[in-house]
Amino acid sequence: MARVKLSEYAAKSLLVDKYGGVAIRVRSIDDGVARLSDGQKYIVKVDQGIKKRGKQGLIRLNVTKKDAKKAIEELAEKGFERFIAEPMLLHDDDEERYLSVERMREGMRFLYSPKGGVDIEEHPESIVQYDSIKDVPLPQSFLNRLVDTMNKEHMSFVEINPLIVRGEACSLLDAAVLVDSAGSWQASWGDDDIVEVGTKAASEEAVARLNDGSPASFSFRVLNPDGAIWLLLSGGGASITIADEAANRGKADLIGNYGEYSGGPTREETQLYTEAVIEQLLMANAPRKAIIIAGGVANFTDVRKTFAGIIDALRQRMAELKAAEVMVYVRRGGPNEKEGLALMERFLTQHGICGSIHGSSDVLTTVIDEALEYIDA
Amino acid sequence: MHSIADIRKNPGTILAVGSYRPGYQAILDFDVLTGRASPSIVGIVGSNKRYEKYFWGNEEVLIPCFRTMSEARQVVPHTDWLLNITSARRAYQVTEDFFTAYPQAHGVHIFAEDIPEVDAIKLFDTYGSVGKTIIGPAGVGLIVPGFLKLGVVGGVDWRQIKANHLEQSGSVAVLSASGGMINELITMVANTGHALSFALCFGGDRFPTTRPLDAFLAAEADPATKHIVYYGELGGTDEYEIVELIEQGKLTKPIIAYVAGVIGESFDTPVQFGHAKALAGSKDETASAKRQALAKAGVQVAGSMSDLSQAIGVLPQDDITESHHDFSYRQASLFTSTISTETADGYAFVGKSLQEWSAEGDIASQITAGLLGRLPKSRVTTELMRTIYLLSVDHGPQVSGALNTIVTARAGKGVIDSLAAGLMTIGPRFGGAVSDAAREWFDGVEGGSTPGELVEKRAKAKQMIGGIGHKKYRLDLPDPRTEILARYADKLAVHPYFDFAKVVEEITTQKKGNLILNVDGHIAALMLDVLAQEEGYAARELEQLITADFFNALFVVPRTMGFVAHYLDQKRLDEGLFRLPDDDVLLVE
Repeated sequence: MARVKLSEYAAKSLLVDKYGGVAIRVRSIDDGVARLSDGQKYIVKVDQGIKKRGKQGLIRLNVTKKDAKKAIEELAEKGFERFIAEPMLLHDDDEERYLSVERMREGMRFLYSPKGGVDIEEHPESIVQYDSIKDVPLPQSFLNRLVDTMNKEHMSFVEINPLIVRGEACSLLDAAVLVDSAGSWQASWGDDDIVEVGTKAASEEAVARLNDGSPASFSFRVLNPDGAIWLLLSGGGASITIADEAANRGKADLIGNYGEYSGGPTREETQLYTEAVIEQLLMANAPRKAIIIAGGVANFTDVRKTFAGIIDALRQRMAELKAAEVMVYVRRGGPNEKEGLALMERFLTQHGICGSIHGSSDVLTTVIDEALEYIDA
Repeated sequence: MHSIADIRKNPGTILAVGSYRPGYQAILDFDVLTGRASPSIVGIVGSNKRYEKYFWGNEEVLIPCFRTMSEARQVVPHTDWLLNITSARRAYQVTEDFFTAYPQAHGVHIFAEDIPEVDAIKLFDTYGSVGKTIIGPAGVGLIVPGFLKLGVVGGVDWRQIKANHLEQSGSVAVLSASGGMINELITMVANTGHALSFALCFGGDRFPTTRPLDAFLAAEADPATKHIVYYGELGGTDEYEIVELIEQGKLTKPIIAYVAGVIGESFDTPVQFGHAKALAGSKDETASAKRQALAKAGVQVAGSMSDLSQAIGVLPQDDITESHHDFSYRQASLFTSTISTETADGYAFVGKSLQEWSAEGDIASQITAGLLGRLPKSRVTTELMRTIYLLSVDHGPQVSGALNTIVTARAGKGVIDSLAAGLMTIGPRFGGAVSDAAREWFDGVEGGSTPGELVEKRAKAKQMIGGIGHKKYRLDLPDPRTEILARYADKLAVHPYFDFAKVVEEITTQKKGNLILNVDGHIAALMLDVLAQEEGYAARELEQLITADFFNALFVVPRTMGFVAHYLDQKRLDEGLFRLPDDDVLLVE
């Protein structure tokens, strides 16, 4: 559903013929090192989609097979799991070129600079945009193969920096590739080739699994683990709009998470999603906490059914929610709106955690103001 | 993009693909609320059913279903819109199939999320750029209040449609990247005393197949639209194209806009929000930058939802007429019948009251109407039915069915048991071969295999061919009944099924003289030809008749009369219990 990053190893395996790199994982360093050749000098890098690795000390140069293990263990100590080892290509700095190719509606857009390398950002004037592949001053056979692979493998963006060109031969010293996750079923890369910057909380992983196994869609991302406002939102658009309102009030730092459910989830799926949000909320270290259950006026998601799932989850953790003095603020519209809201109001009031209940006749974002008022009080 | 004013002139019809009952029901509810005479959805592709039953106001209506697009094309020769509810993996192919079958159609709404970027671009290049309207993917469609609802936009509950005044045309156009927010905005427009001119959701993908700028130009060109309300999000640069249109003077109508996602600017690294496009990779893709650019061009940019609601609130009000429809008490029926009704004047059977049938006095005509489920179009059909009836009523007391009727009658049983004994004998070896024969001739003609290939195939498998062969009659001793039946071929301009069957007979009789085209084979072939030529049955309808055992019914109806005759004959004779003489049984120790 979006553009995601491939590991450098997976990217180059697709882009380069007879690619000589070796992927090494922290759980099997010895196996990875065993695949390196004696008498060859390697460059060892962290392969987790991180930019400016050189400046952050995440690259080791001139590594031999003998000292590869030690080099990787040093990098692993910094909390990384994926690495890549590639044969060193000796070259002069002035050989380094920059190339990026991005899929646009009108076709591929090429950005090229003869002054590539780690300091490319210092030479923005050297980058020239080309809208036709024929105009790019690089070997056409290389460019054609690159674009073919991008089309076949659902790549949306490829950035190569530096690129070394010697005659017709092009070497990709570093490559960053964004792929279109919607195309994964037609491409040869898989979930395991996607890297995510930073690590995932248990609740985020639970929601990702839920999303993978359902025709409905779920997302959940922790923004501030000690946030005071926890969002249980439906709809991609309404969820941003509600989060915006906190930013409008200058309170973005109070928001614990961003996420949304949409596409008509079942009662059970909504319950599982809610459990993940509650789990994360209960761990947050904030003096007062609130849950905002909100969404726009749904086209087809059944309010009563999804609210029943939310209630199932709230009921399970009720004692803890009450102990933490969590208040719940609700705004929702759509099919079975009246029944859903009545059900929720009865339940929340009964347990004394009802902040407010709003239907489609009230503005979507009132709940944010009310929740902020409670937290600031 | 297809013009909104043209949609009001001629909303057209919709072919739906995929299974989404509440969504389809809401479209039919919209149709009734807007006073449309018949459902806008003319067919549903991708269902194994013949029909699906939907409410039509407080009544019910059957919407025909088809397995494939080409099957639909045979029955529905023309349609204007495709409502594509298939999965992301199938949506592209289904759209292509639709435009192949209906090249004149206006457009498509694709509901699925997760359509690959390359497919979305291909859809735009292939269809969008040549004037077709492709709405979506990852959106909820297009609604032109009072005229057309293509998608779940505006809700799936008739109460939502009514509450939002979607049965009447107004002055405010709502354009949105988000499917949820479009309904939020529609509700906001309605709650503040306004009605919509149209609402279009182009979806939250990176490359919407209806570009926001196309939607804005459609609003500009629409005479009913006086104001445009826009919901956009961070990510992408579509808003700059809108700004350009305004600066070029191509977009002059007042716009109220909300661009969501300023929250994204509170974090150090870009956050991917719910929609695929909702990630600001560069500064100009942030919500703030886009808000600024729009405001600079003269767009009224709302800073919050309350601001937006207020801005819409002060627009000139539309005249709202409250609709009086109420579907609260409708109930789905338990079963459906299309052939008979009970009225105050008595009973009606297939389009005529029993009094009318009686006055007309033609039993063959009534049987034909009953079996077809409608009045026959041609006299030839009724005549063939009469001939079949008269020739099939009885083939002597020796045949299995008559014999069982007789034995049962002599055992002292009544008319029902005796008739049932006879009828239950009908099967693969006795009397049940008409459907088999129809299957042979139909598959042969439609499947394109030659009679020679059919005979070869059956011979290899050592199987009989349905409708071929007789115990007594042979090439040199023709069956007098088949001669009468064969004359019907002369009444038809063409008769491909009969021709096929006759060539099969030519081949089989060369092998053995009694492998003639028998009565069953004649009935099957000629009825297929008459239904196709005289009654206008399409291949798929004939196929359905074969599956439903219609052709065996042609035998069962007259033979029922024959069995009853045998039963009454036995009662008149009253010969007592029948027992086989010992000589007729071989007892094996």
